[in-house]
Amino acid sequence: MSINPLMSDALFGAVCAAIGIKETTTLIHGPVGCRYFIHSNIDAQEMLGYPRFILPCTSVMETDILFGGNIKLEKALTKLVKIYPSKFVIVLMSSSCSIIGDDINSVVVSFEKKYKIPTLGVDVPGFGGDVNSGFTRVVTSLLSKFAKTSSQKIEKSVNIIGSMVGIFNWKNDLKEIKRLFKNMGIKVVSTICADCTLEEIINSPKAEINVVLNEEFGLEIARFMEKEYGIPYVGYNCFLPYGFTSTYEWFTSIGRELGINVEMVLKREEKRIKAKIFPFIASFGQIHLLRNFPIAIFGNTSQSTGLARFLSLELGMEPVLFGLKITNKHSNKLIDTLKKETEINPIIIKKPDMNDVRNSLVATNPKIIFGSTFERIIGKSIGIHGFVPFSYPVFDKVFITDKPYVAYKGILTLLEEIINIRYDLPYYLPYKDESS
Amino acid sequence: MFYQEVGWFKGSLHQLVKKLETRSYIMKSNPLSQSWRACPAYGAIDVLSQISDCAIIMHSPRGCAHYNVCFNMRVMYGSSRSKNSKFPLIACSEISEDDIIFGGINKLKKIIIKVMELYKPKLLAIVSTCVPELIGEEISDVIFPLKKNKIIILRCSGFSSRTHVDGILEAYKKLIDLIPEQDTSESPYVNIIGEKSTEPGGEADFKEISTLLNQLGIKILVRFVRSLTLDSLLELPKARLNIPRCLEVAYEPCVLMEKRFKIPFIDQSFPLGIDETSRWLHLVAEYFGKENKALKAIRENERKYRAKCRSLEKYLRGKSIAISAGGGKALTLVKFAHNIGMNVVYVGIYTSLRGRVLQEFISISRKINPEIIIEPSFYEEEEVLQELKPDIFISNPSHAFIALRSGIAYDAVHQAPQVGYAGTLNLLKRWVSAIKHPVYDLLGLKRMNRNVH
Repeated sequence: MSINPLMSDALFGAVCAAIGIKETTTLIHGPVGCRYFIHSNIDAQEMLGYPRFILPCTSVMETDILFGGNIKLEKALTKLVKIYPSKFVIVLMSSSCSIIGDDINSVVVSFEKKYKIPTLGVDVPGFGGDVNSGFTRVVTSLLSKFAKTSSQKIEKSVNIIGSMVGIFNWKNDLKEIKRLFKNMGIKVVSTICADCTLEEIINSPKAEINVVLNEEFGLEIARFMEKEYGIPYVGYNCFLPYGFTSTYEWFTSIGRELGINVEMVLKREEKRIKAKIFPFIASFGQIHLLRNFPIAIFGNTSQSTGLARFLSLELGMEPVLFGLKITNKHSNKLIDTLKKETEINPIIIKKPDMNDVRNSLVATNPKIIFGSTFERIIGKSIGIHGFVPFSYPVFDKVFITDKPYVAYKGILTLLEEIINIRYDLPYYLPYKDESS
Repeated sequence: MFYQEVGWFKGSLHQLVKKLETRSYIMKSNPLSQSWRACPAYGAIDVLSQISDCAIIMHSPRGCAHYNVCFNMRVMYGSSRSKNSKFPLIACSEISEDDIIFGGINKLKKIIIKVMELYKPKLLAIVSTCVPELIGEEISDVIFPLKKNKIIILRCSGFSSRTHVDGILEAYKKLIDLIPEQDTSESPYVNIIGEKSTEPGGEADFKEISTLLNQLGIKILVRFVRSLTLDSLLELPKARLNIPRCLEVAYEPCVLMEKRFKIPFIDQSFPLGIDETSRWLHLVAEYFGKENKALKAIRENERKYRAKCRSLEKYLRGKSIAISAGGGKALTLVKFAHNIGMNVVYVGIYTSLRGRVLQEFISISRKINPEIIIEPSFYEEEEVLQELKPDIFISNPSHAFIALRSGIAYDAVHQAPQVGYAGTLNLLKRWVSAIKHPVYDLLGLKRMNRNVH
């Protein structure tokens, strides 16, 4: 139970997984409200628009609840192929139809036979779990049904798992990671359910290793793929590639696993980025202005800890508050490592609701919030105006240009954001009164 | 004849009327729906979130509450909220898989206790959604020990209704039930009924209406339901007249309040258009015996706005227009466009068409015969727009893509103020500007109608 919950549920994660596959039509089998809310929430952040993002639903009514919704689902699918010719169809069953036990699989099987369109039906009611569980359920169902087991591996290749539509700035982050992989000679077979095709998912077992980008969304899938297809996985239980140190560590661990020396590429990138940022952090002592600057970070554990490491270890800022919206099995370990490394001692709140966020912001009084529009609104109401959009949902800032947060280009984006916000807070001095 | 509700329909307005007259209309729902309508829970929260000392508890999975919180958050950035409005309190019992088997009542109890302890709300509203309604949760048992508090329960399962309008009406009814009867006879006040909290530009429209009422020396007592406290809500029966914002959601509560509190109401939404606004002002003034003040106000406003509006109307006259909106808003825009000489070729109604608004559409069918889609989906609207090629398409922003893809000038349906004299001028300016400077030129898209300039 929560007051003004900040995160959604399993159906949202499932829709995010489905719309992450190109040329796919996603159909919600449920009442209109499920469609309306998810559509408007995703579109408000991702700005996909019609017809890149269509999310029809079967508009289940009382009579369908009484007599079963299968006939309506059949009609919907028949209509769907005529209106939106698709290479792949995913049907997601929401709470109401799940409770009455509609047999979507039988409808899906007969539809597939008749129209020869690969189709997947997943029972993913909102009450079934968190966002990540819905995402995982769709991806594992998808792999189970379509992925082809292969003993023939593509040399020096990876799948990227754990990026998801709905994670703020996911597309730019993925682009940056793919760019670096390309420079390193690493082939990306599939970015599973994040801007990939069904063919890529079918071929995903051919990858040599799986790279877990966000542990919360990717680890279960990576484990599933190791069990089913024998693919080892890396990238979890460590800091995500934010800033120089973590980026170096993260990519070298992948290089090691693939037997590739990635050092040269990393050093070259590092040199280029350092040269670019040098004047901006050196002129007028900009870096000095960031030192001991109290900040709060709200997001998934893997993203938050990765970002915190960059901001504290490399920029000298001081995270005073962590709001971990989705946690993972290694959350505590990562936070302990971070505390030891950086000597920070932030307040940590797990799965916070709006009430928790407000109380903790009042208690810690950070000057910049890295988080969602939620935290921005709460921050503003108590006089905290510094804000960097970082986690879902962000409804009040867009990046039209390629501005990733991760890896080397990400350093530029984050520094640009932070320095500009720092200019907006000219009279704040982050010096502690040691005498008190 | 009085028809209750029309759901999914595609055809001309005349065809719809004929079907209704011959009783051959069968209520249907689109099995492949993409219409821009939400569930009743959204409607209920839209209303309840406006009472600052009301705590809303959703008995639902987390997502249902989360989306409503997000919606409120998004409108905080729009012009639909008054500057001093607080973020609403929407708590959630977070029903999980186990609760489906063992029941979620205990969770509901816990969250009620937590909310009561933390916030001590004057009003507690429990919104029951699809899942508890399906598994048959007995919510009234939970609130029995709390009877001394003001508590309302709203049953808002998504499958029980076609649109969020039902949730809005359910919330209105429950709130009206809470209000004790009082004397209204000589009061100088009016209430505004049926402002939607998430409607962009709602505050600007309200400002325009209150300016007009001020010119008559009439004060607004209660905005039912917008930016108020429970105590101020209870003052509602002291007003002498109810003024509906939008007939779609205001008609039923107005009828209910007329019966219960003997408050008459104006059978018309907020006015749009110079003549329409003047008529509306006169109508309101009659209830208070202030016809002379009304004449003065009308004269002054018409002097200020009519000439400017005429020059813009001249440009729009004869141009074809497609309108897609909620029932009440669509009706107002259709009447306005027709009155200024535009050719209304298409009307889309997001919500179902019902009650008073449906009657008005039947009446207007004597003058115009546009294509009409009730509960339209994207693909249906795109098809009809490409066929009809209107000069301008007015709709919810989510449908802007359809217009731009088709090379049709576009403006959003809610661009406040769009009521009263100033609103009329604003709307005309926007429509002319949309046709003269369409965004699709910027995007390099092909103009559908080459003869618009």
